[in-house]
Order: sequence, then structure tokens, then C-alpha cells
Amino acid sequence: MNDAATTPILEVRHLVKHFDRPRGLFRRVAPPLRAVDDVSFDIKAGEALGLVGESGCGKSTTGRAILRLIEPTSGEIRFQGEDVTGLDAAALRRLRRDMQIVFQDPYGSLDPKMTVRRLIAEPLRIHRIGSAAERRRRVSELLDLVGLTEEHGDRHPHEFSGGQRQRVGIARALALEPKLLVLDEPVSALDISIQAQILNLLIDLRDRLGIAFLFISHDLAVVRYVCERVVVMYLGVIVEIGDRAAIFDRPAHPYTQALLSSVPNPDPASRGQSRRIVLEGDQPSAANPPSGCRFRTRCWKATSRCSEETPPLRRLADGHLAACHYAEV
Amino acid sequence: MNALAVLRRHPSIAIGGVIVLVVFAAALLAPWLSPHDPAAQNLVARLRPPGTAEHLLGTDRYGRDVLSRVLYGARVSLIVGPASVLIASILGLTLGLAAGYVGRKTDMLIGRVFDVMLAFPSILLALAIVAALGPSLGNMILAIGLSMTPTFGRVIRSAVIGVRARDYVASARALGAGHLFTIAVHVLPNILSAVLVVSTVAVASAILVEATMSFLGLGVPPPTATWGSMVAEGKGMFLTAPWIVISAGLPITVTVFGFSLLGDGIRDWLDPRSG
Amino acid sequence: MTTPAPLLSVRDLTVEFRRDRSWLRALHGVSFDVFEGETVGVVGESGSGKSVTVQSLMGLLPARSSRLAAGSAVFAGRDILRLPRRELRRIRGKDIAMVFQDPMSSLNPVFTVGYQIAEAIREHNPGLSRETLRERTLAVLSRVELPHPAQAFSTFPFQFSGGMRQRAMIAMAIANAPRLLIADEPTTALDVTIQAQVMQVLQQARGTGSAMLLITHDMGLVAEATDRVIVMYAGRVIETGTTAEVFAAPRHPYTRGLLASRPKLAAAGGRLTPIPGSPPNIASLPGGCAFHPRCALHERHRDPICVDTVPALLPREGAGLVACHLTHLLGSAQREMETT
Repeated sequence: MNDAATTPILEVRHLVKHFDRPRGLFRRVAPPLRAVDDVSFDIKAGEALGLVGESGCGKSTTGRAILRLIEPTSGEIRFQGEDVTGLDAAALRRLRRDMQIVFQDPYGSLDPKMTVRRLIAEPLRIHRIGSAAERRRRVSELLDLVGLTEEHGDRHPHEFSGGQRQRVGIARALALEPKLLVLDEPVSALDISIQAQILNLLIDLRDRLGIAFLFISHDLAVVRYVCERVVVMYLGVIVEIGDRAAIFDRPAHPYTQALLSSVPNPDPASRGQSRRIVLEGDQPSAANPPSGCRFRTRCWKATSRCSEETPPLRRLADGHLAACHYAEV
Repeated sequence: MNALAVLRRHPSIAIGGVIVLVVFAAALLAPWLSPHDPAAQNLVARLRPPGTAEHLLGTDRYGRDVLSRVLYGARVSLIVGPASVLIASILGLTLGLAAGYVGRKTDMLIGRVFDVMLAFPSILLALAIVAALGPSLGNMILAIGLSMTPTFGRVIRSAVIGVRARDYVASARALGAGHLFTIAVHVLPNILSAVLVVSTVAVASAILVEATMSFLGLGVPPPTATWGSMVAEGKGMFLTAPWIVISAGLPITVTVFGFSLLGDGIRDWLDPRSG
Repeated sequence: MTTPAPLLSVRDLTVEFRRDRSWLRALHGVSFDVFEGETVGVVGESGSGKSVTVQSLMGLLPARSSRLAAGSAVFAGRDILRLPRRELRRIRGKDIAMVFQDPMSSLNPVFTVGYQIAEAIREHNPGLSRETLRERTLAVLSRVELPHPAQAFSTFPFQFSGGMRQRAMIAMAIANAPRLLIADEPTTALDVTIQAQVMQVLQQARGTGSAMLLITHDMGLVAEATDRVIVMYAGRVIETGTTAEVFAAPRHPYTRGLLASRPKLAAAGGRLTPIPGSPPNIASLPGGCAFHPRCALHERHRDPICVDTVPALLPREGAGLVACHLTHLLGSAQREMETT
């Protein structure tokens, strides 16, 4: 048991995804967009790993590349020890029983023509699991698992609120009893009062079913609530990895520090007590990232060394990793 | 939702449907409804005005009964319209799906072919094909069907691209669905309403093209009665014998209107977000 | 101490939208005040009516599908809801200015940023010389901390990043030193680090003289940036008060629920307490208090008054109002909830 908990279920090694950009007849070849540039991390069985960063940092691309919804340019993705990148169509199908995704947009990710019951049964149909009666029973179980009623099953997605649709999306993803669930901004499109319902549902499901999460989000407070370990990305690279306490209480990378300090503090009583780090300027283009450390153009600690030497992810005194020449705990 | 409720909620399906049904009935029952043989000439009773019991809609310049010719003319329109649309929709669906789903080079190639075809007005294209193959009912259906294919293909292609980009297609792929399954279960049903709407409206325009070609003398060869050829024959006598043009022109208008209305109604009905 | 007259006084604002053949009420008698120089937050979820409130104040409601059923909004002595178009135009952009969520919707893509700001200034100050206009525009651009004002002057909106564009829009809004700035989700579309920049600019650039109405769903933003807060639910104001008091001791179960359903960044804390159900659709509002089907307090006490009667906005402890029949039971209910 103890052994299983420490063996990674997913190992991502040197993952790269470059997007070619269209070139015109008379235009020069545009440099590719380096959406994900040499990213490596592990997820242990049953662990909830958060992947945070701002738009364009490559977090969603990473999530989709792991499921091979986008073909990675290079790198290795090992799921339960097996390299996923080389799999043929049939093997990929098998793999997809164990790895599932919940999308951000509960409006766009459900086929509007289908009833909820059919939507939830679809994964079972695709993989030809069980008889019609068995599938019906399983769908009822799943409806109950995500907090929907039998009566909900006969309706169409457009009759549902955002939160209910997201429950349907989760039920679909759980139908095949996956071991890893990629959650791509699962609550960002929902009203605040609904977000908490879905977050609690996800936490309960993980406790009951022991599924590992790759939880992709820009919302740091939500990640802190759900995840034990956190990966912070900036402009296609990982800048910091650590467990919850390390990232939120002892952030070592200047970008993580800035990110945390930018989140509005919902307690007016402590207003103005902590100094806010307000970053200068904008995120540079991923087509033409800065040399050396990619964050140096906005970093208040940057020196000439940062533009010459790319900082590797290195282990700090408390055991967590940060990619900054000047990081210390 | 039962059929009656659908019709009550979407009156345009009811009205359009009734019009189309009436025209179909007229075409089907033409041999029994027609008082005369549509081709029988009666040189004694030429250009009789309408209103007599013998010739309810009058006669043309060969003394043929206009009512009988209108009823038989419906047959040509209702064969050519749906049949050519069937050809156009099958070809358009195949090419549009290939272009929209596969994308990249396939899309570009099919797109260029469509561009070339669309550069000509569809009537011109149809005329050219008939001119090459010779006028006959079958050739006309083929010609109109081919000339309308790019229109279908374009609509289907963009509908497919729209559906393909949706997360539910990605979601099905993530669940392990193959391409054929994804197309059959997610793409096709979600573009079906677009196809159906374009089809019904296209039947209307196919009937118009058929009438135009018959009017120009490149349709079904005489003496077969068609609405288009009747308008063509009657146009020279519009001032002296207006009933010929009107009797043939009105059914064209009404039929086209009926199919368009039906198409609109079906679109509203099939959209799951309506109501 | 005498209270000064409010800068903006909204009374009984009632707005309806046409759906099919009937009118649906989106705002049910919304009333609030904004005083000189203060920042007031308006919070609520989808369907709460916060955006409709702003749109009606700015005269931006779709004319054919909506109507003002009742109410007034007195700004500097005049009801801006009933002003002739020409008079309204004179106020809009000068005394009242607006910052939208999407800057592309208010910046014209075919003109340079400088030209548009200069136009906004000239519109209300005819007769200024070209040089003065340019000088003033550059001054405004540097007030929103655009890195190179002279360069930004001749830049087109699409050449800017999202954050820069939002600054350009703020520049346009503050160009005529408005007395009231209405900011509708000004940072929602931006990344967190950019959000912090833009909020800072928004606070500093408008100066101390003008008041701001900040519409947002982000409780954190409200806590940080506002003096007073108005909480809306299903087209009604359900609680108002100073931000400090409302956050420290919310007197409406919905406000309390909203605060409890956001995870905190500062501490890992215990389990979140979500509000059950979903915000209601304005086409089928529950009777009585619109919140009662989701209300923990009603769940516990089952008082029929919640189902039968719409609660009035009454003074709460501190300086504010609350619309809840059972608010006096709230403290004890909270303790009970925590012990179970």
C-alpha cells in the first residue's frame, strides 16, 4: 500500500509542444509557438497535482498532450510505466479507459443532441462495456455519485444550470473508472456559490475512488483547496514544484511570489498589511521567449546572469524545486 | 412531444407541409384529376379563356387544357426538385465532411474545386452540363444536382468545422471514440439540421432552376408539360392570354414558398435550444 | 454631523425584458446611493441584476427588448434615466464615465489610442487647440502608466496586449475627470498579475475626487478596493453596508454563503460550505424571498413568511441594510452549523 502510494502513475519527461504557425506565400517562415518547452513532472497514484499559471503558460496544452488530444512534438509520457507517445490507435483506446478529462466549459463539452443518460452511457458504449441493462444500472449509479437524480437523466444539457452540466461532465469522465483525471479549469466557468459544490464533489470523489488528479487552474485559492502538490508554469516552462505548504507558504521563485501576492485578499480587515508585488509589463510572446530565464524581463531580481544562463529546476533546502538562480527558502 | 404539439408550436411546418402535400397530391393524382390528356391538341378550341366547365383554366395556343398541363407539370417539378437535391446532398455531405473533418490539404483541394464551380452561376453550370449530355429528365436532375453540390458542401463543411472544434468532440475522443464513431454519433446529428434546412430550401431553388431551364428550352423535351415550358410558351401571349403564364407561374411561386417555409420551420424545431 | 447629499441616488429601479410576448422583471426596485469620492462595490452572481443596473444607469439597455418600469437615478440633481439623449450625451463621458470588461468593445479598432482619447476630451471641451489637446492626452496616458506615452499615442488598440488596452480604456474614461466612474468587471478577462496592475492604475489614476461603482463577482476585489458594498440577488439588493462590516459580520444568509464558498488563499482551512442549488432564472423566481429555496436558515426554521413575503430592506446593525426575515436568527444558526 505504502509502495503504491509513492510509485508515480504518470511520468512526464521533457515534454515539448510547438505549434507551427501559418505562413503566407510571400511571408517568411514564422517561428513556431513554443507552448510547452521541456516540461517534466510526476503524479503519484491517488495524488492531486495542481498545474497553475496564467493564460498562455502552456498548462492546458500540457494536459491535452498527456491525453494525446494534442500530439506532443517530443518527450515522453509514461502512464503506469508505459510510454503513451508511441501508442497506436487500439492501445490508445485502452489507455483512455484509465485517463479521463473534465473540460472547463460545461456548455461546449456536452453534445446538445443527447440526453444526460446517453451522455453518461457513451463511454461504456464506446468501449462496449456491459449489456444494455448493466449500462442502465451503471448510469444510475453514476448519476447518484455526482449528486444528480434519475429524473435528471432524461433531460438535455441545455435544460441544466452550469453546475449541473459540470456534474454530467464529471459522471462521464468517471464512467470508465479512470485512475487519472485531468481537470482543465473545471470550475472557472461557474458562479461562486456553485464552484464550492463542484470542488467539494471532486474532493469527495477522490477520497472515495482514489483517483489521481491533474488539476489545471489559474485560480490559486482553488488549487490550494484541492491539491497536495503544485506545479507552477510560466511561458511554457516549469518555474517551481513543491507540496502545498511549500508553494503557498514558502514560495521561492519570484514569479510564484508575484502570482500569490496578486490575488486579491478577501479580508478587508487586513487590507494593506502585506506589501503587494506588482509585476511590470506583460508576458512575452511564446514564439520568441527571452534568453536564459524566461521570467527575467519582468523580474525585480534579474541580473545579467539571468539572461545568459537558463536556471535549472534545483532542489532547495526544504526539498522543493525552483528554477531561479537566486531562489532560497 | 407529439406531432400535433410540434405543429402547434411551429406553424410554418404545418403551413409549408400542407402546401407541399397538396402539390404532391396533385402530381400523384394528375391522371385522375385532369379533365383532359395534357398533350391532346384541339385546334378548334385554341386560347379559350378560363372559367368554362370544359376548360377550367382555359387552353393554350394548341388548344391543350391548361389545368391538365399544370397538374402534370407538378410531376416534373417534384421529381426534379427532390431528386437533384438528393444527389447534391449526398455529394455535398461526403465532400463537406471530408473537407471539414480531415482539414488541411483535403480541405484546401475540395475548397478550390468548390471555388471553381461557384465561379459560375449554378444555372449556367447546369445548362452547360445538359448541353453536353443532351436534354432529358435524368440529365437535368444530374445537372442540377451537380451544380448545387458546392453550395451544400460549403454549408456542411463550415457546420462540420464548427462542431469539430467543440469540446464534446474532444471529449468523445478522450473517451476513446474512433473517427467513424465520432462522425456518426457527434458530428452528423449536429449538422443534420443544417443539411435538412438547406435541403428543403434547395428543393425550392432546384424547382426554380428546372423551370428556368425548361423555359429556355433545355429542360425536359416537349411535349411533356412542365411549369417552366408553359411560362415560356405563354410569355408571348401574356397580354392576350395571361392565364397561361399565371396558371404555370403561380404553382412555381407557391411550391417554392411551401418548401422554404417548411425548411424554416424544421430549422426552428430541430434546434434543441428553441423552446 | 450632517450627511452630504449623494452624488448618485438610485431609487426603486425596476427594469423588464421582453421574452416572447411577456415582460420579465430583471430588477425589482433597486435603491442605493453613491457619495462623492467613495468606492462602492456591487457583487452578485449571474442573474443577480448587477449588469442590468449598470446598463440602465448608462442608458445602454436595448431599446426594443427592455423597458424601465419604474424608478429614478438622480445624478447631481438630475434624473439621468429620463434625460433627453442630447443632455445624457453631455453627461456621459464627462461627469460619468465607464470602464468595460472588454476594452475592444469601447475602443474603435481603426483609430489610434491617442486620437480616441483626444476626441473624448475635445467632445466636452470644444475649442481647445491641437497642442493643448495633445498635451492633455499625453498627460492622461502617463497617468495610467502606459510605458511610453508618446508612442502609445499613435498606437492602434489591437497592437496592445490585454492589460495595456485596459489601461488605454481607463485613460479614455478618466480623460475628463469624471465625478463618477462605473467599472463593470474591469479585470475579469485579465490574468492575475495583470489584474493587480490594472486595479492599481484604476485606483491611482482616477484621483481622490471621483467616486467609483465597481461591479464584480470577485469578493476579493471588493474586499480590497471598496469602501461600501451592495450585494444583489435575483434582481434585488439584499444587503448593503461598509465593506469591513459586511465581510466581518454578514447579516444575510446569502452574503454569508458567498463568503463561505470561496476557498481562502491565506490558509488551507477546513471544508467549504457551498450554497446548495443554483441562482434562479428570472423567468421563474421563487415566491417570497427569492433565496429561500437555497437558504440554510430557512431550511432550519421553515418559517412560512420566507415563502409568502418579500423581505424589505431594513437597517442592520452598523451602517447598512439587510433584506432577510430571519436575520436575527443568523448568529445562532451559524454557531449551530459549525458545531454539526
